[in-house]
Amino acid sequence: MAYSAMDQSRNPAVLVFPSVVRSSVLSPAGVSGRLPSRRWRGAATGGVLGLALVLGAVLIAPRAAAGESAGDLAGMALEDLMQMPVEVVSGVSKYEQSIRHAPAGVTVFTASDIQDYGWRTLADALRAAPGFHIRHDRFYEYTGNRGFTRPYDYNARTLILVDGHRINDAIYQQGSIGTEFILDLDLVERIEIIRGPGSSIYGSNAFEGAINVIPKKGRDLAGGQASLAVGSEPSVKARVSAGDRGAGGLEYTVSATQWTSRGERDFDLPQSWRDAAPSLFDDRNVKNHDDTRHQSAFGHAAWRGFEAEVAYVKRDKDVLPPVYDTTPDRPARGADERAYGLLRAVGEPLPDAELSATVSLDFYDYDGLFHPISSNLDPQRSYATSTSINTEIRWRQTLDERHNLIAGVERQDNLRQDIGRDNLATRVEEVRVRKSSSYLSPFAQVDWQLAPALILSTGVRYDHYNGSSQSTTPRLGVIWDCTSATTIKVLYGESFRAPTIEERFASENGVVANPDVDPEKNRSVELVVEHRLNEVWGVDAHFYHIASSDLITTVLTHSNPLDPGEITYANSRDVVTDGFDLGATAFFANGSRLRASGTLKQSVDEATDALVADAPRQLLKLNASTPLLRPWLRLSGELQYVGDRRDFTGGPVESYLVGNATLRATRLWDDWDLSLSVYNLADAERSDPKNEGRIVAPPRLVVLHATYNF
Amino acid sequence: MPPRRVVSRWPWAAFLLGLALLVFTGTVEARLSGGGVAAVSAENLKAAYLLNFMRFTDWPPAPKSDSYLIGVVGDRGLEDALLALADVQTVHERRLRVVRVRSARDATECQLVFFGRATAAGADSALGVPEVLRLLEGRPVLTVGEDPGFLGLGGMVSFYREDERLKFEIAPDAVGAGGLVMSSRLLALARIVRAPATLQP
Repeated sequence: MAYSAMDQSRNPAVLVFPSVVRSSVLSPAGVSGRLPSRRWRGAATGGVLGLALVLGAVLIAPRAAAGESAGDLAGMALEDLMQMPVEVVSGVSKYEQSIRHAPAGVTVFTASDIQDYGWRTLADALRAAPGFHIRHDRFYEYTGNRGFTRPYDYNARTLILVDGHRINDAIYQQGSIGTEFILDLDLVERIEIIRGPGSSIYGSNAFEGAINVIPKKGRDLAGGQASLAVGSEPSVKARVSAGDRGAGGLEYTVSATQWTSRGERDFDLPQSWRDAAPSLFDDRNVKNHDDTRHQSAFGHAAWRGFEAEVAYVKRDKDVLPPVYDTTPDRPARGADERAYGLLRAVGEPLPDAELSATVSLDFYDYDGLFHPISSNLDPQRSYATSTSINTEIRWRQTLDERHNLIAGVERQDNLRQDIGRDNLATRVEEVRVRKSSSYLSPFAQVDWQLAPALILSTGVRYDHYNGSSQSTTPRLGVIWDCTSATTIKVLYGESFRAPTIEERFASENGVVANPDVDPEKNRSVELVVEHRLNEVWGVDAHFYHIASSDLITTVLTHSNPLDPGEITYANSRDVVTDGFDLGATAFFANGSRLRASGTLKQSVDEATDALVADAPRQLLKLNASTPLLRPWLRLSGELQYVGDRRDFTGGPVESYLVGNATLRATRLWDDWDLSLSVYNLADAERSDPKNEGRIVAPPRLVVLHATYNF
Repeated sequence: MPPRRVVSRWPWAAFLLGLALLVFTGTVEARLSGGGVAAVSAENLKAAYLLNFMRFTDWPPAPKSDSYLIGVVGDRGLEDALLALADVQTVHERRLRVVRVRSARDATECQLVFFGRATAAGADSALGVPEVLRLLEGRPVLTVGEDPGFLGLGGMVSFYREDERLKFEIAPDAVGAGGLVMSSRLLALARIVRAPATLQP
């Protein structure tokens, strides 16, 4: 049956309402006609006028001397200096630079944010980031970053990094952000959220943006931690960590986490299902609940210029029946396993120059068992395994004492890329792919300091995929500190996502593989205005126009008379996104923090002129945290509004407002941190799109978290 | 449900909102005397810290000089920030001079030496940090670094980051060995690091 190709090997081949699904998935994609560039002109006019206005306002505004800021600081008291945020980011250009001068819009969350707001997964943190919405289909979570998500896609348009190391795997290119993410979020020191194309520095998958997660180092831990979190699902998460840096310069971190959750026990299954077969839903019969088992470990050691890091995660997930339309009385589960080990050496061969070399070994493994209704409830085992070696050599230099150069070469050898699906009842191998591949990618970026207040950032990367595609992705940024408190950035960037092994090679009955499918491309123009009003408040605005082209979609082949429904993968969809994010942050003298953002955007399919699915047009976020009565007690809350959108079959998904709150006490009796979090305070019912239709999001959850520091 | 048709008013909405934002910021800025405070670059912040460290430190009496010498190893950005400050700021009513430290001997001439992160990257960098620190041991030179291992090598003050803030730690033993006296206010704000007894020379 043709449609099963949509989910290929990883998920069960299921189809409950073929006509609905097929028409909605296929119809817009097959049309290749383009509209006149009406929106381009509109956006360009708006952009040019906006820019002219900003420049005019800036020229009229009283100018501050370029050196004023350093002088201002030197006159400040030490206590005040210790409260000044140092805004640095390392994930934009592969070297540490000030956020203000980085060629991208950046949001940074810290360990305090994670603990104060009680974020349990990377997805929880991203929900609070400007321009992001998260789709949770109760198996995985997916980021929509200034745009949209796609069905049957594993979050391959956002690059996930751990301290600069690529986490997206060599099979599905999945950017894992849920409970299957490789780090325990309590072990994270900071999260750099980089919006906009990042392929000029990272290559594939930095399509909509990149998330760089930096784990705690020995100096951050400086001792040990034992932590226990008990949730109302019920769930139990236990973690033990230790880290320090010794006098000899050796710094280390070790940590291990075990997290089990029963998830939602009384999941609200469709009434029609219950009516059809009541006995199936007797709890004694239900075999696929919402259980999650997560085990992870992390280790890091650094000495002088050498660094070693290992990380491992295995997440077993029982998959609720509606996720893939399986029946409750048969198992439906998938296990994701990821691991890497890396070695890095950094040296200074010349003054002002730094040379670093990194080699890593990466593993990914998926194993799933499903009983799809569409395949007569036959048990089907899906699997995927990859092994890769990644090598990168990087040269960083200060030129003429002013300009910053970074250049390097990255090579990845995917030694093994296996995917398959076996029907265990008929003993038929429905999908079988055994591949290996490699890519070689030189990149360079120079940040030219043209004047004390003006930086021109120029970067380009060439990705050569052996035996298939090539991509060249540039990035250009003009960054102007027009006053001591205002920075304007004009950014142009291109990015791509290479097709997955599955999209190129996984043929099966009704699906023709397309080895020649090209990478998806993205071009983005962005205007950023960042302004610091005073010691407390900062505001920023980002206006963007993003043209995503050649999105990989399934289309009918129209070539097989025996199967008119036969499909293949093609670069058949173009989407244009226009929008803006407005944000404000505040750090008050009493220790209160506030972060608010609003987004208005729209993503339009170029062929049909219709709004694309899972692309909410409005997002509002508010995060506030304040000391309560005592300095060691803190109350934090977040509110998130996600505007209405459509699911992938065209149905409406209602807007929702969700609130979370955390009360946290630090250093109680010297050594204890305690927190109580309530997620989805109002227990509001809300849904997210899944591959077909919608699925209800988790209900209210209460978590008590205790950490002992030793 | 049929997909809604698109109304192409977004660029204009964006434009109007940007306008509103600018008017808002412009108004607020005009009301704040002297304009806003700059977003902080790490270099400017470190430079301001270094001046504050000097203000809260007393050096043993030395031959009359009307200026303090600040040495920088391996951080051009900080050099620039310090040079900008040196023109307008004084410490203990003395002028400030900034030099790039090229040899261990240069360092002994300074009242304060800052070691940039890059210099700690390799053991055999152009100027070996451990060697310079050893040479400065017991001398009245305030040594400030930012590498995690800096205090372990015998440094006096080290920057570290916490919650996106720049903070500092002090090894009072090393400070005292150099004959420097730090004010209690400085020590109260710092994280104090005492070397394990076994590591004392």
